[in-house]
Amino acid sequence: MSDPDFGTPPNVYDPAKRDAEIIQVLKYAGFEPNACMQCGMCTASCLSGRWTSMRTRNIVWRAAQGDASILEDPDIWLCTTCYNCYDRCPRDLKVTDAIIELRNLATKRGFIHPRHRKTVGILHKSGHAVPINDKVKAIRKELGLEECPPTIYRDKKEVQTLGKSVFQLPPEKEED
Amino acid sequence: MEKELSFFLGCVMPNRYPAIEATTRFTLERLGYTIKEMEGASCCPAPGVFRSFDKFDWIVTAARNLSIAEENGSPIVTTCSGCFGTLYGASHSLKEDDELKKKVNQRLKSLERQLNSDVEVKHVAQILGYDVGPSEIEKVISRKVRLKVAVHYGCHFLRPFEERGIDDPDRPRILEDYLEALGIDCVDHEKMYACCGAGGAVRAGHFDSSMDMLSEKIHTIENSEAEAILNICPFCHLQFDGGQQTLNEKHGTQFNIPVINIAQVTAFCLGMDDVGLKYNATAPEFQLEAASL
Repeated sequence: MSDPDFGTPPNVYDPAKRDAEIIQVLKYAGFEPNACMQCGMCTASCLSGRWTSMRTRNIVWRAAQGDASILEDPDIWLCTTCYNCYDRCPRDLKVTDAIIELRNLATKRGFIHPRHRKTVGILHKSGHAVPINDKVKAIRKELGLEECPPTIYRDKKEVQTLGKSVFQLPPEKEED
Repeated sequence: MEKELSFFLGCVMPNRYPAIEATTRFTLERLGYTIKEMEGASCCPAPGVFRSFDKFDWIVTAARNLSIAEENGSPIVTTCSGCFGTLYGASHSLKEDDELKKKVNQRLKSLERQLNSDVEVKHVAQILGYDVGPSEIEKVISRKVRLKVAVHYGCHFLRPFEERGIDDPDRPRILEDYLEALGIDCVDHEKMYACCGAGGAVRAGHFDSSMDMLSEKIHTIENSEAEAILNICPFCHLQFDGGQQTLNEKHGTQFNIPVINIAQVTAFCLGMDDVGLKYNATAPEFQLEAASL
């Protein structure tokens, strides 16, 4: 968890100890690590940061140094992807996309919140992130809509095929 | 032919707020559009949640949905800014990157789908605000509505700007121009362009933080002259509507601000009397009132 006073420095200064994969995904996202001058425009534009411990500037600082602790930090999951920082970065760095890439890498290494696993489970089971229920079916009927919308949900086999082919999450990261 | 649209339903609208679906269908048909169903479409998948887990799988699933519209032969219309973000974003990336498109099509083979051309993706607010436009809508509506609203743009409709290019995200006008043609008074409030706090897997994973962010916006709307919140996205609608109940339970507040989608208010002006506000969790008794001419 990053320090709300913005003070937590990255754990890594020795270039040999940097997590090269983090640097690589930042560049892939359009976030050139050396171009960030730590101005703090991202944090200043961040709604989440007003209410949570998320400090975007701190996240991108640590990531740009290849500090692997950033992947375990729950703060990277507090971004609502509003894209304010992305649109406002004076160096035109793709901040939000960088956070998405960090989340992808964190997921690959097994750092996944149980509630997020559940959401993926719902998608695998129904083809939707928010599945239909009986109450809504009744309202749909009242409104003159088809009780079940014409989506993948009607085709159990297709739901299964899709579920097997996407978002297979790695097992939970075991504590060392 | 050119006025045919593939209607992408997504998740929250058909499965939580079907009144938005009913009013969107009514509105588009009244405006002369033919709606084609996207049989077998799945979750878009959500740009905050699922893109965060695996960006490639996200784009594959989105491309599967795009391919359904390609088969229909008509552009996609979506009511949800999240779905818009995903489908527009995926379509944009695939257009710019042939290598990526090849890889995505490779994966789509196992789903017995292929994506060959570029699929145009539009948000319903873009169709109403630009394609139809304020002057045209004023000609076709049968009545105006007497209402003061806090407009909520949300995020993925306008941002990132370099990809969307719809309107200036820091000072947009598209919704105000359109809504004023319906007789609606759009009032300023302090956090006018702030996020609702639902996106980015925050509502799914960190519900309390999501409610905190919402509380700031709700509070400034409560303190403004607005009688209702007007949104263009079912997920924002869910956050405002259900969120006010959560905040009231959690903090003992008395928020009771009606939440209205752009399609509901348009349908009302096009002559629909019951636009389904009674299905909202917050202020279900609220009814739209025609303006006296």
